[in-house]
Amino acid sequence: MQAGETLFFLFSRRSGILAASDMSWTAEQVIALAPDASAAKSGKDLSVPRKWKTLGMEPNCAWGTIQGSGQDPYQTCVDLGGLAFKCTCPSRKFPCKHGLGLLLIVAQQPGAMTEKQPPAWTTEWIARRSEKERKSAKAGTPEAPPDPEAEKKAAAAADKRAASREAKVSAGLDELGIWLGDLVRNGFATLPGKPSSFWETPAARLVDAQAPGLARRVRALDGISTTGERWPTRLLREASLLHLVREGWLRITSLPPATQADIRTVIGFTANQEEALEQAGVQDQWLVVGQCVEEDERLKVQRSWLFGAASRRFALSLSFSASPNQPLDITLAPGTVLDAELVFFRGAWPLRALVKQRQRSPTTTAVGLPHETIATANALAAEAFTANPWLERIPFGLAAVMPSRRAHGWIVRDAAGCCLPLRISDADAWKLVALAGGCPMALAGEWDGEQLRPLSVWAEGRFLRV
Amino acid sequence: MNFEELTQVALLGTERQPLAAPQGSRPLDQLQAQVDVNHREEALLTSAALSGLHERIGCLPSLDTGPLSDQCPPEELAHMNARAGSLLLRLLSGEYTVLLPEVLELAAKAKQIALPEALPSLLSLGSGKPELREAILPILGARGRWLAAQNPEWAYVGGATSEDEAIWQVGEPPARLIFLRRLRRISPARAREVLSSTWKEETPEDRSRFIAAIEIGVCVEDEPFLEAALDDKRKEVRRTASALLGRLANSGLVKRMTDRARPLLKYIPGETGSLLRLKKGRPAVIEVTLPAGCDKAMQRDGVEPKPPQGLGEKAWWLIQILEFVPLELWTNDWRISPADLLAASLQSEWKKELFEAWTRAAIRQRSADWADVLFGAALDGKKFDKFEGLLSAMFRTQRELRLSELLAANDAKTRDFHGTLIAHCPGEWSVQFSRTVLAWLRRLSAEPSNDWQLRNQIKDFVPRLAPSILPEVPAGWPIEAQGWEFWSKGAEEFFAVAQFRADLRAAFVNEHSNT
Repeated sequence: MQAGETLFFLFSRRSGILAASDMSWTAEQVIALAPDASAAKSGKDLSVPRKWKTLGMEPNCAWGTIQGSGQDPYQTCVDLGGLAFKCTCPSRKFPCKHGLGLLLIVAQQPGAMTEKQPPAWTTEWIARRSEKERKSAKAGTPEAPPDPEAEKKAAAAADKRAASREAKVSAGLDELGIWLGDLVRNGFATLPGKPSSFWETPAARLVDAQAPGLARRVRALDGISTTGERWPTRLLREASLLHLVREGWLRITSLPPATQADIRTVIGFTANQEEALEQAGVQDQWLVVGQCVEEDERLKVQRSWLFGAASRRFALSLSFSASPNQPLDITLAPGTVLDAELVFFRGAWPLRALVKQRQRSPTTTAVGLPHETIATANALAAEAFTANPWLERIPFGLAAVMPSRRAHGWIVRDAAGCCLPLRISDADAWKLVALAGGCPMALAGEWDGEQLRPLSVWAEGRFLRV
Repeated sequence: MNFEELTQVALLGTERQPLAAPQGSRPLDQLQAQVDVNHREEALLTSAALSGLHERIGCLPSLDTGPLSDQCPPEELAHMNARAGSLLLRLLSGEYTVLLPEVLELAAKAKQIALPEALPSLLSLGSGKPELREAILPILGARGRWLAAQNPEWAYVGGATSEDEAIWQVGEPPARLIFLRRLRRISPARAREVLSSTWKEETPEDRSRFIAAIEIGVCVEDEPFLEAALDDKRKEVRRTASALLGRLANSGLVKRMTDRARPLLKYIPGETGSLLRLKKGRPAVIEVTLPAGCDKAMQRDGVEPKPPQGLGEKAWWLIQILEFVPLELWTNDWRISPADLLAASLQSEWKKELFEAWTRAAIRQRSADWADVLFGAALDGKKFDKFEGLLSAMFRTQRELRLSELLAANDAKTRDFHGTLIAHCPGEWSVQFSRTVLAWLRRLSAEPSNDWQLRNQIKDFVPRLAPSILPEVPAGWPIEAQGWEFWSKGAEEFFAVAQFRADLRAAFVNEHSNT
């Protein structure tokens, strides 16, 4: 495949790449919504039409009733447009097994959704949801006229808080500087065999200094120093980037605003969502090209990578969950398309974004993958790292690559012969080989500067998560 | 300085290794030249940041010239539908593994193949479980065979893809075994010839694996080969050969065993007592003469000289000889029924040994009548280890009748091991017997119990149930009864497996569910 050649995936039931509003869900996409493995299993067990008392569907929603352990049957419905679940069961999981089971039937046996007229409890709920959406869309305008006195006070208090935090961060970064200095003065050769407290202590100090982003990166150094070849190279790279944060912080006001924002993000300042939402966004058909969930301490972080059909740019949507009761964002199902306005957080290479507004109208637009050869993807990465050296991963959407095994590990290779090493288990790698069948396939993943972690593939017209 | 040089400094530590001032005229060198080398640590980290970024941004993707896999040939069979595919993936991921053999069979019967994403786990399943290999092969499709050829761990598939006997010469042992077994099914004689042609060059391990394949369609023509294998150096090979010869009713080995056995047993008919008890009656008895020795010829035929613990050596030899003797020999020679013969054996000093020997013989020779009679004795004697073999040797109607009677009688003597009996009753059960077992389970679960073992076992009954009664499974359970608290866990699992099995069967029958 020549550079720049575009591969388009048409949205149809047959191709398996689906627009959410087209109601063509695949079982995989539904399972991906489950909050945990046990909910996924229970949901699968309930994806049997005969277990349901009633089942019905219209273009915007699906509903069903099912006998549970309570006296009255549970009423379950799914808003197919905005993808939301509602169930009268007492489960605190979200979506619950009934919602998952119902959507699985929609995905696999839509013929079983025999009722066509939604019952009152369904229409009421959908109506309430639309109402809420309208309200939240209007919420931008404050209702009461602002009180200048109170505003002044609040602003002064906020400034004070901000100044105190910045002082703490400065002190924390000074300490980090000393620790990093010790690290390179004594030499990395002394590191193997250090107890985990060696890394944990400075990380904890950074937490105290309200720099959680740096704390996480320091903690991750422990992993680097104990495994893999070339660990000194990787350790020095990461240590030098931490050093660069400190250097940047010392002269932050002299830096361009975008880089200031990047440094604050690395340190762990929370991005200002309201400020971001005030900007005009990018309206587009966004294809959810890949998703993964990682657990850091007790916090679950879900990364969803989007790619815009017209804007030809990537966006990263993050969702966090600190407990099972706090669900991750389930509306961005991999392989689906959302017609939405996204706003990007400020940065020298803006990537992280929020969904500002989402259309419920059906979309049937074709969205292509970023049509990259490995060389163009690499050029994109160079551009990104130039703008923001602290980026930990960059989304790659490769149009046509073949997986292959080499002595040093798995790679993907494109028609030009360029290759990228993969970060992948053997089992998953063989799955890629099986799906490709010896032909080039489209693959989306995360590039960390050294390895590509595959997240999704499109092979033979089907979308699959890795 | 490039990043590699800087890493060397960092590895040793700036304390020992000062940072050299950069020389050169590249833009990077000029940037690095601005770094104050007097602050060694900061200088190193700053230089590293510059150089690391420089390298990361400037690096080009590597070129690869290694071989790529060929394009996979097109499929000849249809894929299973998405529903069946997702159920198969769940089974492969470790859910409801008792149903794995069934899904393989269902797919093979429907002439459908697995979806590509399931292939690696399916192939690995075969690597781990050789007994499933042949069942896996038909659903691999062209893609699965193509994939297996790329991973040595899946080499066993090679034996199934090729009609070419060359695989026998060049293949890996697992592939050769599958090839041999397949050939044995198509042409037993050719398979034997192929095996004989390389027999002398095979390793002992391979010989013992390969000779076991002769089991498929074993017949008189195999005798010379098997007879020769009795002189093999490897014990497993000799054991397999003698076991297979034992299944050929007219083989030399069976004749030799029969000749050894005849003088050892003598049947003395009973005498009825007179009406007036003037003369005492005497029951029939079997007189046993233990074998005098275990000579070379006996050992060659498979008689193990050293007894297991708790058994005298002569008694041990007796058991092993009798095991090979066709059971009809005794009933024909002495013109009595198996039941009478067993009754007579009970009068003997060696009744335990005779029971053991005949049970082994009945299982080995699949003698249904004998198994039926011996099963009664096994019940009385609580010989749990014999239940499975004897039940398997009976005809289905026979064993189902036996067990149904036992369950219905609900006798205190046998009640405690009804679960064990059901667990050892091989499938597939008839509709009627499936219902009998269900009814028994429902009755059982009303009563309090602490039979954890049975509770955990119930779910394993599911694959044996007649498929048509699966929808009946969840109804009619004593959920209000006292015993339910204990049994519900096992019963819920039972329902879940039954539901899954019903879904699985529906997915292969109902093609409309595929969208």
